[in-house]
Amino acid sequence: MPAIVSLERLRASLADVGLGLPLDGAQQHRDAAAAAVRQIDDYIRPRLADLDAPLLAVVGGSTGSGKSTIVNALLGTPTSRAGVIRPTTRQPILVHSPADAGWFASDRILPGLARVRGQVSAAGTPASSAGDAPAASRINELMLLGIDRVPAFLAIVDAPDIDSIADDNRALASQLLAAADLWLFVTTANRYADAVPWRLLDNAAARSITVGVILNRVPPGAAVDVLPDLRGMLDARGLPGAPIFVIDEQPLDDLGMLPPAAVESPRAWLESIAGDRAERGRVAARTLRGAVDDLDRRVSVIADARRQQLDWVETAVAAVAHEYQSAVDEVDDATKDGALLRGEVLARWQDFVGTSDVFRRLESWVSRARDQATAWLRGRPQPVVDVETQIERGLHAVIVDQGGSAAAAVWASLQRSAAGRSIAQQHPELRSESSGFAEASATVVRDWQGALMRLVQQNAGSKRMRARVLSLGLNVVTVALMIVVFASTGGLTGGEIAIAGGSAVLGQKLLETIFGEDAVRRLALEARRDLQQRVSALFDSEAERFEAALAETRIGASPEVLRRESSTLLDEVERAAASGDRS
Amino acid sequence: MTVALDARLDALRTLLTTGNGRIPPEIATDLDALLGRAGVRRSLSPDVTVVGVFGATGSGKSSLVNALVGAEVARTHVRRPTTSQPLSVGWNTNTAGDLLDWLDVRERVVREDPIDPRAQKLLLLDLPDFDSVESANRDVAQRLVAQVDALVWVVDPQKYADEVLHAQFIAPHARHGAVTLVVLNQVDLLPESQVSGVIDSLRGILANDGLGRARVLPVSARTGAGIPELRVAIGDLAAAGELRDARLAADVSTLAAAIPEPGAVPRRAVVPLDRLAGELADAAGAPAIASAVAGSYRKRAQQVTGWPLLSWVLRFRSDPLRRLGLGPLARSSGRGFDPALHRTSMPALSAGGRAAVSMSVRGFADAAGDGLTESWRAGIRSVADGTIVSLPDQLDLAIAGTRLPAKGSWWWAIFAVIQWLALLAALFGAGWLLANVLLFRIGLPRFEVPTVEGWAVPTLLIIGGVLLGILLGVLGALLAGMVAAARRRRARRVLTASVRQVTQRVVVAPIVAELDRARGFAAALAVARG
Repeated sequence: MPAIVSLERLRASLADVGLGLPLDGAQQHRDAAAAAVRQIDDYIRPRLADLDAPLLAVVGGSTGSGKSTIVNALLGTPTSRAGVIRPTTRQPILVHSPADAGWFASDRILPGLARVRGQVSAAGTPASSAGDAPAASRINELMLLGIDRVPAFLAIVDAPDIDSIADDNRALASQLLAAADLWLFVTTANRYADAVPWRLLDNAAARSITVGVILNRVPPGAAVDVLPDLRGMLDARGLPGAPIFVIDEQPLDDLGMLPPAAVESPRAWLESIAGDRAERGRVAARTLRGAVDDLDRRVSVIADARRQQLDWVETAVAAVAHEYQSAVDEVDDATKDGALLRGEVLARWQDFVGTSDVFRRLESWVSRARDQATAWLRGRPQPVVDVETQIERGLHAVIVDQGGSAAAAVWASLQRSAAGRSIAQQHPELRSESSGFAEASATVVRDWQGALMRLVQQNAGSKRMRARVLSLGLNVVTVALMIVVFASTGGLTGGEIAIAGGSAVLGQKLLETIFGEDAVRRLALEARRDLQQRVSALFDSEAERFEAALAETRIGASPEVLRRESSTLLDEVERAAASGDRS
Repeated sequence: MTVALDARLDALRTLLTTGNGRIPPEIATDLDALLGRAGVRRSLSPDVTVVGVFGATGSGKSSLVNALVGAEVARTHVRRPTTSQPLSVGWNTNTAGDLLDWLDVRERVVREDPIDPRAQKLLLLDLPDFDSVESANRDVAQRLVAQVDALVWVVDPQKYADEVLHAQFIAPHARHGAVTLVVLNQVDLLPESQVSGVIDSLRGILANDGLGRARVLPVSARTGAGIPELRVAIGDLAAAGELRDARLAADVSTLAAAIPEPGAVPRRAVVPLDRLAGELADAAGAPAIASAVAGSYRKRAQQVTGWPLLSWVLRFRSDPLRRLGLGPLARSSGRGFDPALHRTSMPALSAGGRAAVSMSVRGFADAAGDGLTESWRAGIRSVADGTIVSLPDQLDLAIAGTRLPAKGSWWWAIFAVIQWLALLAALFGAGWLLANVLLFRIGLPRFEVPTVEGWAVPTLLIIGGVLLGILLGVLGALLAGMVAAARRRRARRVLTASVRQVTQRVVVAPIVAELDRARGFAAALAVARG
């Protein structure tokens, strides 16, 4: 597979990497991914396509270090505006030999920048008014200038500063430096120990890019001290081969130009590279290799960041699942051991059991007269509907409460991290349970009751059972089954019934006389399992809302794919380089 | 000024304590650090003014200090970075050793003649850079930039627009304009004609940082240009007095601006207590108890005022209130009855009741926290969640301790007397008739049976007595029904009132306290912001 295909794959993955959560350093990693994509567009792709294309030398450095003055001196004519007001250069200028015009007019390199063809300022224009006035709006334009003094096959870009308050300047400078085949790095005697330029130089060392350093504005006599210091720093930081060109602090001429002699040595260095086809090829190949190497390292960091994001999402999803699982468990707890049957429900059931004629028919030893006396003494007979309503109401309240608590708990846990807060902010509706939750819970309760009725009917197999169920009333049997389900401990019925006591036993007796002991046990188990399933399904759909919100952040390349694509690219570039060396 | 600063520092202290857990932890750390710093600085050499000279590497801080002092006190060199240890130059500051110890400045130079007559007690600090590859230098500068009384930013024509200088050092001290000087050093390197342009450009960038009113002075440490003016400017700063407090006040303003407000704190009147109390009373079973009160009244009334021949049977029916372990019967039965220890024999709240309690309380908390920011709302929620655990027991105690309207009525006795009289009359009539029949059977003369309108009096007595008894029974039942309904309403009312008290104490008070805390926080924040 040609390297360019792997590159496109990696680029697509990086462009859509998915680092949206504000975790620690996420902004940095997002920027890194964007920078990697830009570097692929600006540099790696065109260079991979054509190693023989002209080299791009970027003149970069701090604000006030004299980049523009040096570019002007190299070209022998004021082209780039220089001055004392910081920051100076805004619009980047690319100067090339007129013969190379074709290479740069297309968007082969730096496709993100529009092309403007510039005019060489008339002879005698001072550097302070050369080129265009700094205008922030033109930062996205690349001005092309064809000048005879530029050696063929080597274009020079005057980049904006790397460290001024102008954010656009810094961003564009990084972009241009990332797109360069070689750097002409400008610093000064005041600046050479600044931290910001050294971050870039470290990066250049990591990419094994060819670097030449111009030490500008050296006060008289200072070079003796400064030069060895700078040399030492370069050596220590992995740039031992970088030549240093010293330019003394000196007055500019009337046009704001340095004398040509001041830039003779950097000029000669550039020309020696441009003039030798083999050297040019080596510089291009080495920089490309270094860029892909470095890209691989950066992709690895981005992949780690991506892994972090995915891990966070997994943790959050697990937390949601945990909250809703404990809600299901809470509902389960509330519906056993008779917890739901205290108070009103129990009172109604006792009234019903004590007064209705159900048990008179059922238990022959209870005398009719005594029942009637009890009924009269206790008051009016209670319809079984009361019991049913109370159970429904209690069960419904438990489900709705647990749903609300779980939603609140998940919301609170989201509030505890910045990433969670960002998701909460995008989804304010997650603050509480879904709007139709109470109705949905009511439907679950009703459906469960309906299922219980069907269960009773299905299990009343014989004619005798059906007759018994009919004579008692289907809903009386159903309510008795509910009572047994809610009175039972952990899904077991029988001797374990303790809390709801005698009245639940009566319900169980009633069912046992119809279905038999084992069948009642099975019915209760089945009814409980059915309720658990329905409640689980309801809570799953609630959890789903959070999971959907979290899933949005999952979209993107997987870390493994990123790493694999990057190492494939690296292998292919290496293989291509090896075969190139042989030929 | 001092009083105001004291008040604002107190406000910060309030913010730190009341905002605990509600403000981002890094802000709490900053608050703690600022309070500590303010406390120490104000206790040390209050009459000494500490002026720190900050700048990038190569901007000429040390040269500038030397030029100000008029002697080579600080080492200067072309190799970068030069200065890595802070150096202090002091005038009349022999007593300021503890201050310098706190500043952790080891290299100390003492001079005789003040640079300006108004700056008698002055400490001038030459500090390491903050932008070189030596990150330790930056750490020193970062530490001291928070500790000095006045800030002198030294920039040069190359570096005056650097991002590090503006974004990381000057802009965060944008509120410190009153204690800040900006010095453009090395103006000798600029063509004369362009100095004012550079100054304007620098001013523009400073204004962008938010430091529009700081003084900008062009100087050259090498040629000495502008140095006298800088001395005067430092004298001006020292003469303004209370520089230390002005600096701390600016710190307070900066930090206070970064503290998030708690949001719109709802007024107390908005808190819907009545609805909550009603819901909780329902959940705690108040309707059932009210029904029991009514049932109990009806039962006892009928027992007393019903027709005695039938109503005795009611004694065997259990009293609904006694079944719940409530009412006067329960109280009189136990000596030393203490509602605080006594639980109703109402079954503990069912799972449904607990769920209802929990929903009501959470709904209430959400309504109470409406308008607050998330972290404060979360605080209210967790307070509410805490109350839900103990609330069912508290509600039960409240209901056990409620005096229910369970007494009998005065008219029962009247009805009872008449009932018995009517019964006696009927019995007398019956006895009379019976006696007549018996006397006749054993051959004795009968009593004369008087008649009224042709009706025998004993017969009238029987019919009248029975009819009166039934009528009274019916009347009593009607009356008892009416009174019972009133009793039910009253029971409901007193129960709700009890529940309301508990709700107020257990649920509402902590939430209102939380709201008060938010309100106190907002007020303190306003004070701190000045």
